[in-house]
Amino acid sequence: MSTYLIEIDRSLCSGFGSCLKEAPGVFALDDGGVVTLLVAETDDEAVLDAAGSCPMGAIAVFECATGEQAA
Amino acid sequence: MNGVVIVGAGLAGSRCAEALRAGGAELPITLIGSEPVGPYERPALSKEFLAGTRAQEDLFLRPPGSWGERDIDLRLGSPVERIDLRRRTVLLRGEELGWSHLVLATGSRARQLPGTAFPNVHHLRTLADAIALRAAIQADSRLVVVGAGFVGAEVASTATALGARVTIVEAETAPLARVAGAEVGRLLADRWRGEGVTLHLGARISHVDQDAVELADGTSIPYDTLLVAVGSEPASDLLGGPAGIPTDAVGRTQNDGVYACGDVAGFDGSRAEHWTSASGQAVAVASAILGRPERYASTPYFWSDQFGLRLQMVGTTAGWSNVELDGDPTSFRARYVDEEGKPLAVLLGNRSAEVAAARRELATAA
Repeated sequence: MSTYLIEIDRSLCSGFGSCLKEAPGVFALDDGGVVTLLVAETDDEAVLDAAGSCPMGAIAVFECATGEQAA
Repeated sequence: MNGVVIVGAGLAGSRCAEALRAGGAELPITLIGSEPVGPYERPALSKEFLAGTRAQEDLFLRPPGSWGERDIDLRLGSPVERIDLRRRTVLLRGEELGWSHLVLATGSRARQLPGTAFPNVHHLRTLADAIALRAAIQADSRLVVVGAGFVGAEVASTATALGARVTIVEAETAPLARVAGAEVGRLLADRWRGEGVTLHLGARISHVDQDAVELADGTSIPYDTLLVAVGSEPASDLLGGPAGIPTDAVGRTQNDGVYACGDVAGFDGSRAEHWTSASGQAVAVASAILGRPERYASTPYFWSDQFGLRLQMVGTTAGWSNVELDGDPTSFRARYVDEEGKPLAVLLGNRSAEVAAARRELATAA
């Protein structure tokens, strides 16, 4: 099992909320409708789908062990 | 009268209203939409909504009550009939509303094809269009799409998944050829054909009957439902012309106190029809109204979901001379460069992890 580091670019977020649907324990929208992280790292593989689902390409996921971008 | 009147309650108009409030504006704000529903996500109309996997109430940009909570007076269901720049009013349902700041965010409308005014001929722009189209697309019914652009491709994709038999008719020799070039266009055409779509490329339409599209070469393509997806034009009836409403880099028009943003705006010299530009321009207009103008200048970006491909384009391909294509119809990267090899745009197919790197590369090259 891998642990993932999540990076979000709030300046790109348009508030679609697709990441919340994929990984509700990791992402949330703030009062302005912009994404925030509930955790910085997770072993929940759903973050890979969350990154892929973001139409804005505002989410990047890295493997903690290797530092390689996973999604 | 001191107040902001925003004409158009799509993404640009509603984001502008929100950004004004978020920036501390205490002026009255009136947000006027011609459609009977509050601000919603238009990109889903050709995809999840048409597919039936997302309900109407899940399309709203904000919960319906949130506009009132922010003291934004949302008026829906009627278009503004007229604006008076000298007296600073708009006419809405016979009522004159005054303004100190007027924001025109009327968007764009679907281009028509002459001689196609039949009940089974559709366009896709509004929620009402999408509801009508959804009712028309049945399993095993024949859908013909005129125009292989993004809307046409996305509807074709959704309809194919719903079991319709889909034919696309396109004047160019490859899909998305003007944006992506012939080489990438051929790759997309392969993908679409592999998904069961019939393509007529380089097609000249001689005329359209109520049940068939007739091509100049004598081919007759029968249909139950026809979608005309031949692009859009700015809804610039109130102000501006065929190129939209010209503005500077914060959305100011040449008329004092009048701004434009979104699809209708010829924003700082160019008109875009993308989510990101509408949203960013709206924020710039709000900043100008708030008296601390911040220009909108960001790398163009858009995405499209079609036939199991997520296409994401960063930058703009205008003026490209060479394309470096890597991959196949299931996953690819096309890099567009100018004569000197300077990167102009990157189009990714199912490679969303590379978007951030593409943005960085183009920002550095700019």
